[in-house]
Amino acid sequence: MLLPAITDALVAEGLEISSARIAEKSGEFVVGASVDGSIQLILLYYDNPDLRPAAAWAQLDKVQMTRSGVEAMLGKVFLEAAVSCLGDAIYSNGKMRTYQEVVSTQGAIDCALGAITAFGADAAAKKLGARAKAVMNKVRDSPERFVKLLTDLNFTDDQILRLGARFGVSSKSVRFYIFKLRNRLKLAELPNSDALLKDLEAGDEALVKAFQENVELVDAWKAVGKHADLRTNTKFLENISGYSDDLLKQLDDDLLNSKYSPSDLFKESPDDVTNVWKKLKENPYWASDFAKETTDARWLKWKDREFFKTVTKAGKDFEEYVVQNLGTLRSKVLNKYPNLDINDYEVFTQVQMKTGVGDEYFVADLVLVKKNTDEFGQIILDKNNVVVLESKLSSRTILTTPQGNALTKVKSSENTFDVRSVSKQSSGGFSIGNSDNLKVDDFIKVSSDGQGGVIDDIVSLK
Amino acid sequence: MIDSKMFSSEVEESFKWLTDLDFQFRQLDTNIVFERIKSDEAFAIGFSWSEYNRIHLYGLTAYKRFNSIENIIHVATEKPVDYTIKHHWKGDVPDELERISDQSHPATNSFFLENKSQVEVFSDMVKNFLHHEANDFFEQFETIHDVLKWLKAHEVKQHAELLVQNNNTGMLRKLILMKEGHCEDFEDLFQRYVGFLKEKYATKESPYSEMYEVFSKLDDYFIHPD
Repeated sequence: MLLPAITDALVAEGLEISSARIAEKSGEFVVGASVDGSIQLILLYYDNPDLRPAAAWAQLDKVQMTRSGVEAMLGKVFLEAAVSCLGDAIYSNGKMRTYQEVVSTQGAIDCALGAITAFGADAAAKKLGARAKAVMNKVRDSPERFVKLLTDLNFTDDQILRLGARFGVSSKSVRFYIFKLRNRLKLAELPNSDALLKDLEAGDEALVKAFQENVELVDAWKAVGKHADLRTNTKFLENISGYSDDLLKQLDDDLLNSKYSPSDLFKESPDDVTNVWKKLKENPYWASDFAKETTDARWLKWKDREFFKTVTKAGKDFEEYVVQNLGTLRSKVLNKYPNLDINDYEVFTQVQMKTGVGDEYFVADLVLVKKNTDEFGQIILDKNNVVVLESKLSSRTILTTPQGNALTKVKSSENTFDVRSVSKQSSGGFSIGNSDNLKVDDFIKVSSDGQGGVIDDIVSLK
Repeated sequence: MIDSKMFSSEVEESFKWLTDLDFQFRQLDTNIVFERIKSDEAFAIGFSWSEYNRIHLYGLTAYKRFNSIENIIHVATEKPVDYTIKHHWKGDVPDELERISDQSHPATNSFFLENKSQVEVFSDMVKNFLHHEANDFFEQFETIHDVLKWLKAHEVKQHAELLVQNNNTGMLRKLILMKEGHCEDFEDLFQRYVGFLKEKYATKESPYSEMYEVFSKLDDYFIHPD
C-alpha cells in the first residue's frame, strides 16, 4: 500500500521534505491537486457518509483539483508537505488516471488522503482556503465521522491516530471511535452496549486503549458487568480476558457473594485474580503452597474457604454416587461382610442424629434400618437394628468430631441415638423422625480413591 | 446449582396451581406435602428429597387420610396423625430430568433436579400425576369400605402397597379399618395377631414388644362391642 509510505514519510521526517525531493519526483502540481482532492473527498464524505470510494472519486471536481495543482506549483501553497508516491498514483504523464486505473495503482484514494497528514499538520495551514478550514472544523466537530471515513478506507489504527492528532482530535477520542466502529457487530450483540460505551467515555485513555487493542475485553466486561468498580479496571479486565465461560461464571458468583466477595482484594491488586483466585479455582490443593507465600489474612481465609468448598463439593458428589449405586455398594458390602445385605434394610439418607455430646449431632449419609416381613404379611422396621454408613472421598479422610463421637457411642453399650431430623422419608415410603430412637450396631466407612466416582473400600469402624 | 432452600421456595412458586385447587403447602424437613383437608378426611400429594450438589427427588405419592382411623392410631402411638392409604407415582420420568439409572434401585423412580427450570418440569409432572393417577386413586377409595374391598381382593403380602406402614402400624391400621368397617374377619385376625405379639413380647423381641405395648393401649377400643 502507498498509504504507509505517505504517512510514515511525513511523520518520520517531521514533514520536512525538501522541495528538491518533491520536484525530483512529481512536483508541486501533483501535491496541490491531491490535497485538494482529499479536501473534496472529506467534504463529500461528511455530507454523505455512505458514499463509496468509487462514487466519491467520480464526484471529485477535477477542475478544482487541477487548479489547486497549478496554484501549488506556482504559489507553493502546500509545499510544506508532499509525498513522492502521489504523482505515480494519481497522475500518469501529466494526465489524471481513471478510477479503475487509480485502483490498479494500489489505491490512490488512500494515497490522496494521506496528504491530509500534511494538510492537518502543516504550519502553513493558516494559508489554506475556506474549504480547507471547513474540513478542519468538521473533523473537530464530529471526529466519529472522520474515523469512520478512514476505517472505511482501510487505514490502520496507527495511521488514524496520527491523522487525528494532526486535526486536534484527542487520541482517547480517536481510540474510542476506532473501537466503536471496528466492533459495531460485536457491540450490536451486546445487550447493554450503551453501558459499555458510557464506561469508556467516562474512563481514562488507558481503558479505552485496552479495549481498542483487545476486543476480547468486551467479553471480560460483560462477565463482570454487575460490578461497577471492576468492569472499568483495565488491569483486572486484561487479567480475566480469555478466561473460560465457566470460570467467568464462577468469578461472577464469587463477586456477588454478599458474605465474602473478593472484590476489594481485586481492586487493590488486580493481578491477584489470575495469580491467586484462578489458581485456587483450578487447583484447590495449591492452597497449602499459597499459605506459605502470603500473609494477607483475607486471602488466607479465602483459600481455606475455597478448599473446604471444593473438597465438600467432591465429597457431596461421592455421597450422591454411593446413593445412586446402591447395587454396587450392596455387592461390595456383601463381599466383605457376608451377613450384611443392604436389601434386608430400609434405606434412609441424610438423617440428623444426636451424638449424646451436648446438643451435638451429625448427619448420617445412609441409615439402614432392618426390615422384616412378618407371617401376617406386614413389613416391620426394626429400629433396634440399624447400621450407619458414612461416605468419604478417601480412605485417609478422617471422621469429623461429631462423627468420631458418634462412633464412640456406637462402640459403647449406650448405642441408642435420638433422631434429630423432624421427619425423614425413605424411598420405600417409611419415615423416621425426632420421636424415634435408633440402636446403631455398626458404623461403616465407604471410601473412594480420593477423586470420587468409584467405591474403593468399605470398612466397619466398630 | 440448586439447594434445599431454593428448591422449596421454587416449589411453592411453581405449584401455585395446586394451591389454587385448595391443596395447602406444608413442608416438614425435606418433605413437602400439598394437603386438602375436609372435615373427616384429607387428600395429599407429597414427595421428599436429599440435597447433594443437586436435589435428589423421590417418593412422589398420593395419600388419603380417614380421620376416623388415624385419630385412633394417633392416641395409641402418640405420633403425629398419619395418612391411611397411599398410591406411589408410576409414571415416566420426563426426558429433561436425569433419573436413577439402576432399575433395581429402591428409589428407581427417582430423579435429579439441578435448576429452577427443572422444577417447572417437575411441577408439570406432578400435574400429570394428579390428573391421571391421584384423582383416580382418591375416587377409588372414597370410603373405608372401598379400602376393605381392595384388601379382600388382594393377597396379604400386597396390602403394604396400599396401607401406610409408618411406625409399624400397618397391621394396627388394617385391624382398625376392619373393626370400623364391621368386617367379619376382624375378630379372628385380631386374636391371632395379638396372640403373636404377646409371644414376641414375652421374649422381648424387637420390635414386636414395642408394637404390643401400642396395641395394649387400645384394649378398650378393640374389645368394645361394635
